Amino acid sequence: MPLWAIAIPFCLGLFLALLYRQGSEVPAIACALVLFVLVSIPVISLLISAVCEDDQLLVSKEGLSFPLMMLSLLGFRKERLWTDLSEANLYLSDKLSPHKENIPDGILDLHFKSGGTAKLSLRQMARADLEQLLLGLEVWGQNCKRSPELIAFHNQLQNENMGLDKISYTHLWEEELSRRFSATAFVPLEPEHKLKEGKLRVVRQLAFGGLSAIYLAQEDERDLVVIKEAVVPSNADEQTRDKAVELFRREAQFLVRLTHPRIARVFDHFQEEGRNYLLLEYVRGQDLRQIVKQHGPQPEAVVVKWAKQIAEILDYLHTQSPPIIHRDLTPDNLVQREDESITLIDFGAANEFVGTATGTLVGKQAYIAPEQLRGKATTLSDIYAFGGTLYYLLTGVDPEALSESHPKEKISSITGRMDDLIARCTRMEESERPRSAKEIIAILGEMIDQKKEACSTTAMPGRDQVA
Amino acid sequence: MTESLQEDQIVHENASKLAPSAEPAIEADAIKLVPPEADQSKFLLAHSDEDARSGSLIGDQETSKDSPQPSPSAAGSLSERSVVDREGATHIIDYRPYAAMEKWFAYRFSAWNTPKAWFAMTILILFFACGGPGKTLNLLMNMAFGKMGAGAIGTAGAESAASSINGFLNMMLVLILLLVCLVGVLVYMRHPSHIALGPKKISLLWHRGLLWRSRSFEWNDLDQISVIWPPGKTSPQDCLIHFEFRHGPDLKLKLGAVSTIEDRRKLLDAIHNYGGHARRVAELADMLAAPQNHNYTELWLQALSAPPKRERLAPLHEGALLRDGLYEIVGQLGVGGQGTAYLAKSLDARHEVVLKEFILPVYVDANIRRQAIEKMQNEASILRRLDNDRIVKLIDFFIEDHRGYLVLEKIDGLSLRQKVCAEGHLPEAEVRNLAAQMCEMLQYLHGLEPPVVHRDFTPDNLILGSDGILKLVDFNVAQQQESTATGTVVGKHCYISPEQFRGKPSCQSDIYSMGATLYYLLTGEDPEPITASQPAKKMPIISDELDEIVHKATALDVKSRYSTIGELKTDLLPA
Repeated sequence: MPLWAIAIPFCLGLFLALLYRQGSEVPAIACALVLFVLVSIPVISLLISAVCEDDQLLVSKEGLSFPLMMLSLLGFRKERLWTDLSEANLYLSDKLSPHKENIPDGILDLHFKSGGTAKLSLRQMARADLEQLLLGLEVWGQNCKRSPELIAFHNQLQNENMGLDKISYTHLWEEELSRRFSATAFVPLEPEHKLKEGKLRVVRQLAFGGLSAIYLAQEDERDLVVIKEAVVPSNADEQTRDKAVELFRREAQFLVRLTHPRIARVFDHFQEEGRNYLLLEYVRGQDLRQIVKQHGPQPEAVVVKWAKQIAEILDYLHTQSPPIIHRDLTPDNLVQREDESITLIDFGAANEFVGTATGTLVGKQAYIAPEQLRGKATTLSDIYAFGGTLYYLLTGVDPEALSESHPKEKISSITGRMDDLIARCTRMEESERPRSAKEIIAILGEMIDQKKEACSTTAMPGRDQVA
Repeated sequence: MTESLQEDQIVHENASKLAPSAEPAIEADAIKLVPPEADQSKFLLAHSDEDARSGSLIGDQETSKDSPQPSPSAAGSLSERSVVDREGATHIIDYRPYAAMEKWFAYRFSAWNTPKAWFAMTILILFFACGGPGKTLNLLMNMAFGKMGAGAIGTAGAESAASSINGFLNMMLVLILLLVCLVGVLVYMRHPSHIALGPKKISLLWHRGLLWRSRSFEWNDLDQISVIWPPGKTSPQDCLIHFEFRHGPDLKLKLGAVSTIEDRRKLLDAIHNYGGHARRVAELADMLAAPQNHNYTELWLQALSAPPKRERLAPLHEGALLRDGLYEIVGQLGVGGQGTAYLAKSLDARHEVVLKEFILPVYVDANIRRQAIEKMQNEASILRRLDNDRIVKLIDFFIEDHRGYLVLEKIDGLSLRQKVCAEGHLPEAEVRNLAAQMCEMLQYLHGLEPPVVHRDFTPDNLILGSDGILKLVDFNVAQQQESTATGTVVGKHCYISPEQFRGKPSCQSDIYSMGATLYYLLTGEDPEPITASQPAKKMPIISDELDEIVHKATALDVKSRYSTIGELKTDLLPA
C-alpha cells in the first residue's frame, strides 16, 4: 500500500478538524487552495499511480499495448501492431522463479521491425497471463520468428495444463507422435476413466486414430496393463458388425491361450457400453523403430540376433493349431526389453477388426504382403513382413511397398547372405519365400555361427578387411 | 385546417423534390424500412429541408447533402441499419482518434485493486463523518459569492475587500478550469465518431448521443490518396491517410483511429471498390491490410485456448445445437474411418447441411493437437479452393468442444455404392454417362495448379443426385501433390493403385481408382486389389471398347496406364 494512501486521509481529517474548530475564520482563499490541493491529491495520486504502477501488457487481435514504464525501450510508442513484431526469443535461467508454480525464471525478448525491443521478465507475469501472451504470439504474430526455446517452453506450459507434465514425451519425436495420434471418429477414453467396475483405471492414452485406440491402464491400482480398443461404427450394417465382433472375439480367445515369454500376454477381452476392449500385458522397453531412429541403422551382427528371436516368435505362432497369423509385424510392434530380449507386443487383430467393419485397410503399407492386401493372408504374409522389418533395421528406412527388398543396394557392407535372405522373404510370390519360420531360424543360426568364426578370424593380425 | 393541409403539401413537394437528387432510392428506402414511423420521418424530412432552405440563404451547399437531423427520440431509436440506409452506406466503421488512450484508460482501471478501494472507502467515510458535504457547500458558496456572511458581519473594510478579491480569484480559477475542460471536450467532439462508407460517397459522422451531424465526400470527386507521416512520428498508427478531392476540402484520417482489423479491411475494400480510379500510394494497402491470412486465426485461438475438458463424451444426439445454435443436428448419416457425418439444419438459412465431425485429441502433446487441427484445416482449404458444380461445397469450418466440424453442402441422392447395392450392377450406357461425369471432375481437379489428387475416388465418395448429376465428396485424404505421404495407408484397398500404396500418389492414381470404380459399377463387385481389371471377363455383355478402357485405366504400371484423364475421355467419348 502506498504511503500517500495513509497520509492523505490523515491530512484531510486534520484539516477538517481544524475547520470545525475555527469555524469560518480562515481566509477563503487559503481554505479553497488547501481544500483544492487536498482533494486533487487523491485524484492526481490515482493518476500518478496509474501511470507509475502501470504494469499491464495488453494483448489484443490488433497488437500489443505495452505499459508506460516500458516506453523508453520502445521509442515512446506503446502501441505495437502484430505486423511490427519481427522476432521473439526466450532466455531461460535455471532458477525457478519464486512464488510461481514450476515456471522457470527467464526473459522474453520481443523485437520490432520499426525499432525497439521489449524485455519481459517471466517472473513478473502470472502463469495464465503468460500463456495468453504466448498464445497471442503464436496465433496473431504469424510474421514473427519464434525461437525454438520459446516454442518448446510454450508447449511445455500447455502440456502441463493438460495434466501431461508427468509424462515425458522427450524420448518421442514429433513425427512419431503425430503418427500415434490423429483425429478419431469416437471419443477416446480419457485419463482417469474407470473400466470393469473400477478395476481398471486409464492412466494415459498411448495412441489413437480413426476407429481404434490404445491406452495404458492400471489394474487394481497396482499393475500396469495396456488396453486396446476397437470401435465398430454405429451405422455399419448388422451383419458386418456381428462379423467383425465375432472375428474379434475369436481372435481374442486364441490370443488369450498363447503363452510365450516373448509375446506380450493377452489377458482378456471384454465389451463395455458397446465398446470392445482387449487387455494386454504392458511391456517396458523401447520399440525397434525408436531404437533405429535414435541410434541409426543397426549393424548386421545385432540384427541377426534380433531376427532369430523374431523368427522364433513367428515359429511359435505359426505352429499353433490352427496357425495364428500376426498380420501386423512391424518394427513398431517389437519391443526390446531391459534384458535385451525382443518381445512382440501387438496383434493385428484390432486393425483387422476395424478393417472388416469399414472395408478399409489400416496398416503400415510397407509391411503388407501382396496377398494380404488382396485379403488372403497366410503365415507366409508374416514372413514377408519379417523380411521388411529386417530391411528397416539394417537400413533405417521403410522398405518399398509391394516390392522385393535388397538392403545391400542401400548399405553395401551388408553380407550377401543377409541380402539374399531378405530378398527371399519379400518375394512377391508366396511360393518363392522360405516355407516356414523354422527354415529362417536355421539360416540365421548358420549365419550366427559363421559370424562367430568371422569374428575370430578378423581378430587375427593381417586380415583386417573381410568382404 | 388550411395550415395543416399546406404543410402536407410541402411534405409532398419536398419528397418529389428530393427524388431526382443524389440518393433518392436510399432515402425512400429509409422511409419504407420504418413503416410505423413513416409519417414522422417524412415530417423530419420536411423540417430538415426547411432548415436546409434557411441554411441555403447563408450559401452553405453541404447541408442539403447532409442527412436530415432527426429528433432526439428518433436518434435514440435509430439502429445502425437505418444509419446505413440514410447515408447510402454499406459499412459504418468507428473512428477513434484517441483509441490508444481510451484503451489504456479502459484497461488501466478495469482491474480491481483492493488497497485503492479501501483507501477510497476510508476517504468517503471520513468525509461524511466530519460533516464534509455541508462544509464543502459552505466553502463553495464563500468562494463563489465572496464571504457574504463575513462581509455582513465584517469588522474591517480592508478585510472585506481582501475577501472579495479572494472570491474573484476563486471564481476566475473555477472559470479557467471550466474553460480548459470545455476546450478539451470541443477538441474531442470536433473529431467524427464514425465513418460511413457507401458506393457513392464517404461520410464522416458525428453521432454521439443526441448529437447528429455528417459530412460527405463523393468518391467521384476523389483525385488521389496519399499517406502523410507527421514530422517526428514513426509509428504507422500516427500517420494520416490523405484523400485529395478535385473540388472542396481534403479529408485526412488518422490510421490509428480506425482501430480494428475488420474496420481497416472495410476501409481498404471501400477504397478499392469505390475509389479505384484515384491514384494511390502502394504503402496504403500495406498499412490497411490485415497482417496475414486471418481466416483461421480465430479458430486456432479458440481451439488452443479451450480448457482441456470435453463437454460431450457421447456422439451428438438429435436436436443438439452447435455454433451458438446456428446448426441443429437432425441425425447421424454415417461413421467413417476418420470421422462422423451428421445431417443438420442451418437455422439462419433454413436449409440442410452435412456436418463432418472429427474428434480432436485433447490429452496429448500440444504439437499433436496443432497437427490435428492443421490436418483439418488442410481439407478445408482444399475444399475452399475448389469451385466446381461437381464437387461438394464447403460452407463453414469451425472447432467446438475439441471437435472439428466441416460444414458441407447437402447433396440429395445415393452414393454409387448404395445405388449398386440396391439396384445391382448398372447397364453400360449408364456407366458411360457416369464415367463422362467422372472425367469432368478429375479434369477439373488435375487441371488445378498445383493439381489436387483426390486419393479416395471410390463408389462411396461419389454421390449421384436425384437430378442425375454426380458429385464428389470427402477430401479427407486428398492432399496437394507436393506433400509427402504418411507411413500409414488408409483407404479402400480395392481402389488404391500400386504407386499410391507405395506412398507416391499422382494424378494417375485417381485414374486407377476411377477404372476400379467403373469395374464396380459394371459388375457390382469390388475389383481384386492391385490387379488390372477386366470387367468383360465377368460380364461378357460388356463391350470390348469399355472393357479396354477399364483395363487400361487400371494398368498396374503407370507407363501403360492413361497418362492423363483427357486421354481416357477421348477414348470414352470418341468425337
